[in-house]
Amino acid sequence: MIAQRTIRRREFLGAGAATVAACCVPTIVPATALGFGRPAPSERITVGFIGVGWKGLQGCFGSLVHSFLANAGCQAIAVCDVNSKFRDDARQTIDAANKNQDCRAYGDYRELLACDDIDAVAIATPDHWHARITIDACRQGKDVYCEKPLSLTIREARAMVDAGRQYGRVVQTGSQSRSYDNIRHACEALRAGAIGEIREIHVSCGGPSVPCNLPGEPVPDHIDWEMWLGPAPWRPFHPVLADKGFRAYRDYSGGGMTDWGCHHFDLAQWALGTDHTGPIEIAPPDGKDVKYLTYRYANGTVMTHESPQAQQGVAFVGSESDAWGHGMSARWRKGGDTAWRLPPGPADPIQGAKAHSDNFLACVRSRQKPHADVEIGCRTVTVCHLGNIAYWLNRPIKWDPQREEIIGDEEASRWLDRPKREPWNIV
Amino acid sequence: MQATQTKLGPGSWHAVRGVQTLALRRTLWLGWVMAAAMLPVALTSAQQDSPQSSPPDPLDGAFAALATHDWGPSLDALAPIDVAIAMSHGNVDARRYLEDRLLGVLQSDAPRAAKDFVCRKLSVIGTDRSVDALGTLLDDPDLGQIVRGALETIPGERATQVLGAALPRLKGPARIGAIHSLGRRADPLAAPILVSQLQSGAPEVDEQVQSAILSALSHLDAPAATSAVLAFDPSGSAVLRQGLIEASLRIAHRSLDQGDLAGAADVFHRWEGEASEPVQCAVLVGLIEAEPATAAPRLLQALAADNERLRRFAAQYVREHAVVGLMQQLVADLPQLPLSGQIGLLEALSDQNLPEVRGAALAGLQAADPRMRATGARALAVSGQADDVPQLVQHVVEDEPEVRGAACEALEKLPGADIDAAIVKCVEDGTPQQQIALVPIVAARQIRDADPMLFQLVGAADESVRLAAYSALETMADARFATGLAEKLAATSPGSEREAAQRALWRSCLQIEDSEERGAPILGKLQGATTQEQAALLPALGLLGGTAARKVVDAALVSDHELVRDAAVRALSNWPDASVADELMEIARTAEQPSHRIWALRGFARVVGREAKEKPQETFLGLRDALALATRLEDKQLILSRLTAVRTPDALALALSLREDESVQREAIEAVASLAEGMKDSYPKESRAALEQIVKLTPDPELQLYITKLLWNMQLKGN
Repeated sequence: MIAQRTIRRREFLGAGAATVAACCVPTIVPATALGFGRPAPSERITVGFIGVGWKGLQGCFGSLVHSFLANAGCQAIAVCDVNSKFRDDARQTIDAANKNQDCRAYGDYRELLACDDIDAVAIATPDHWHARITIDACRQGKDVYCEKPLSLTIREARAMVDAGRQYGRVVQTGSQSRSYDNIRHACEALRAGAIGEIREIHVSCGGPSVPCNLPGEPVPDHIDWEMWLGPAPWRPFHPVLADKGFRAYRDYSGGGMTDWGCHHFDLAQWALGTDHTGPIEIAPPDGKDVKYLTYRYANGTVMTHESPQAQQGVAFVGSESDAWGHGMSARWRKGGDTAWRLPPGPADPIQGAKAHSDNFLACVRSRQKPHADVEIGCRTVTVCHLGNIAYWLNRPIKWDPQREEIIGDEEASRWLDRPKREPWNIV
Repeated sequence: MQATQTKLGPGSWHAVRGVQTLALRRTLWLGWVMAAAMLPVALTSAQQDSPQSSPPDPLDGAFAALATHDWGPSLDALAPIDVAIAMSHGNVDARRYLEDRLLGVLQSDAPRAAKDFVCRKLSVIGTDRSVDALGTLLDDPDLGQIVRGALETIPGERATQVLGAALPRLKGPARIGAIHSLGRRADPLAAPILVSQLQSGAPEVDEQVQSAILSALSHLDAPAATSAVLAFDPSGSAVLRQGLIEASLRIAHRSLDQGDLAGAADVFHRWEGEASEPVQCAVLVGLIEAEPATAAPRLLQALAADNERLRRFAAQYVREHAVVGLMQQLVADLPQLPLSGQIGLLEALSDQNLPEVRGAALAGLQAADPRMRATGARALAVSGQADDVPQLVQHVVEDEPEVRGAACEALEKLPGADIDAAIVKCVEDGTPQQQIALVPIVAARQIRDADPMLFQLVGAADESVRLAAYSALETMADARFATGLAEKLAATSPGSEREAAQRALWRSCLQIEDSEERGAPILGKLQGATTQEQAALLPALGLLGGTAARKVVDAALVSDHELVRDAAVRALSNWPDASVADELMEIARTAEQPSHRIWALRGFARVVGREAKEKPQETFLGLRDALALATRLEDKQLILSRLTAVRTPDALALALSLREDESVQREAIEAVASLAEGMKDSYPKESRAALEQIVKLTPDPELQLYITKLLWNMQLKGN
């Protein structure tokens, strides 16, 4: 039995035009917000990094550590990872950039969060840790940049929003597309009717995560496996999990649906103007009438999830034209055209992760909402999770996006969250 | 009771596509078929309790595999159980049958991984039937956690009772886990056992356990739970204090949700003096919601706080939530705030078009502190009126760059024809310094009626004013001014003013509708022009091109006067199309003067690059020849940049051949990246090979990232 979520009064208050606008229209913070030249050390935002493996340091199209280091207004001062090799690499990288030996290294994120001299944290752990660390960081007064997908479950994502709001923190979801000028331009144009009325959306990305049955192996000395598992159910160590391979497995991630899905469904949500809500029905393929997993929005827009064929991305079918988007690119195809073209506006970005971390750091100073505010990340990852639930149960589900509840299916509602391994808890 | 057969079809197949191995898919498919066909029969025979006469259970194989299941082997053999669970939704008998079979494994000596599998299934389909069996395993060191997870999700009072009853016998993390599960179930039935544990004073109920109980109780909508939390004394323990704050804030928010504002306020007040800034933020918002009448003083107090983050949080709250009445109250008290609070509040209100905000902004503009003046100027960008323009103009020339920028931005943004008129009047009456600052604003606003005034300013005494005016006329002058601008240009001396005048004249002439007539104002002025005047006018004429202009320029190329010949080569180098390409190449090869060779070479690269799409091979050959002639670095760079428009394997190979040339390495790599991106669909193999050769060459991380992304994009798209 999972506690039912009641609609809170402040959500009604927040549903006014101003808040909706704040959610939907990214705040453009001038570059001057961080001042000219490098601020004095006392003026810089101090950042700690939690999870410095694949995405955190090695960099998947933009290392998180490097993107922060490239901002003159930021001072990286601490790292944390359960893998001591990753941890040492990150510490050395930061020390080299800072030209000192001062970067502190921790194996337990709670020790890092206890540091009073850290203003903000950047989280790039496996997904099953995102919620707990984000919520703890908010309680400790840290602003948070949390990699996408925002959470492992729908309830976790909402708890992250609540923590950020309650404690007045800036919480940025690591959906970098939100800070790319070309993608913003394209999504705003779509919302303004650039291809006419959006009638269909076809999202192409990987499928849901699966149960893990990798064999057990001895735990290497450099990995704290108990801490890696954290709130996830216990299972024996396997090296694939401790690297980026965890994403395929249900205890730690939502699979392709939440990996690239978090980019492509996010573009759909953005273009539809549904950053504050979501679909109302999700139906898995039935081999007859429903060919693909199909979402239906209240306004009648239909969105399907299709396995990647030639290319991943999200295609919009409008009443007048088509559009196609990817995490970094947008293309237009006017009625009758066969070739995709660059839409008017900014070209494809080359900013990498930096534009997004820059936006986060600017908001840490201004306290304004970042481009991918946690509410946006919550709504997007909810779309992904709902798709997974429908796939896993192999039956249609109805969703109340206002109350954030599955309607009339107690069993499906059990998937809104997962039990946490002791002593961890989320809410 | 006849079991209902759930629909079966290839759609089930789609549910797992893309994530399962082929073998697993095959097994699942087989499982679907078998389960669909046999499950009702199996159920019927189970009910008849005559196993000796019943057909084989289609799930026997899967359950046999489960009995010895361990981590490592494929899950394929267990797939029919998943399929049967999915198919039996809504079928009580089928679910009971499955639940019993799963419980059979749980109560057997099956390996840990098998029981782990069982608990995961029971967490989805489990009922009261499973609760007791699960409860006996709660203190199992290996299975306790996964068993508790199943109990946490099973609906009904029985699971709450079993979890609660187990608390006294559970130790350490297992006890904490069970407490969390009771909290997450949010079943008020758990309140008595949790309260008694909290108040027991037993040594095993340590800080961690107490903290978990506080959290769990805060989730139970039960008076006993609420009272116990609010009465709890953390006795100086930081851990318990944090746990108590968290729990009581949750209770306060529930009170707000239920309309109990007074109850919520009581809780928030308790933590009002808390030093922690995040708690202060939580309490501020909570009290504003619980006691709306106190919103203004509370926000003003926060805006006056020493803590910058709290000040900014309050300002952001105002920006997002304040209604007109509250904003008016806040503005009225703005002068009472310390400077940082004033700035924060005015910034927060700067997008509000309210008379009160305008008044505060005008006052801010007069402040001694430059940050306040800048904030005032920014706020006037929305709330300002025409009467405020002169005041803003005073600040476009002040020493503080932030204020100057904000004043200029406000003058650019303020909408309305009356604002246009006020700005034009300020230009006419202003000092040269003000004119220099305001003329670009006139251009940015595209104030149409202002061009005669701008034309007048190109005759101003101050050279900077003249330059600003020419620059504005570049975007504003229409054809009416072409003849006049030609006169002005003819009178200029070499230097930046002449170049600005040439650009303004050129843009003015482009406004002439008949393209053949666009050179007429310059050609007219050239008749009888002096050598100096020709030198000024010819390069502008070259920008326009055309047959008549070509004749004049060709004649000038053989003039007796060196100044005129110089101007003619410049004119030809400025030509707007490739019709002069051969002549330029000839000059680039043979001219005696090095400057002529350089101008011509650069002009050639520019004009041939324009035909890259229509004549790619000719363009490539021309640029290749130009590159061979180029001796200066900047010329090679220009040619490489033009080469990026020629999307052919030859051009890609030429750019690639320069990747090791240190003098132009960066430009060569950029050219390769740009060409490869443009050719990734037409020549994917060549593009990819080229990118792979340059990806590690550049020391520039941003460029390297760009190339990596290109490669990755190509991989994604199957190129």
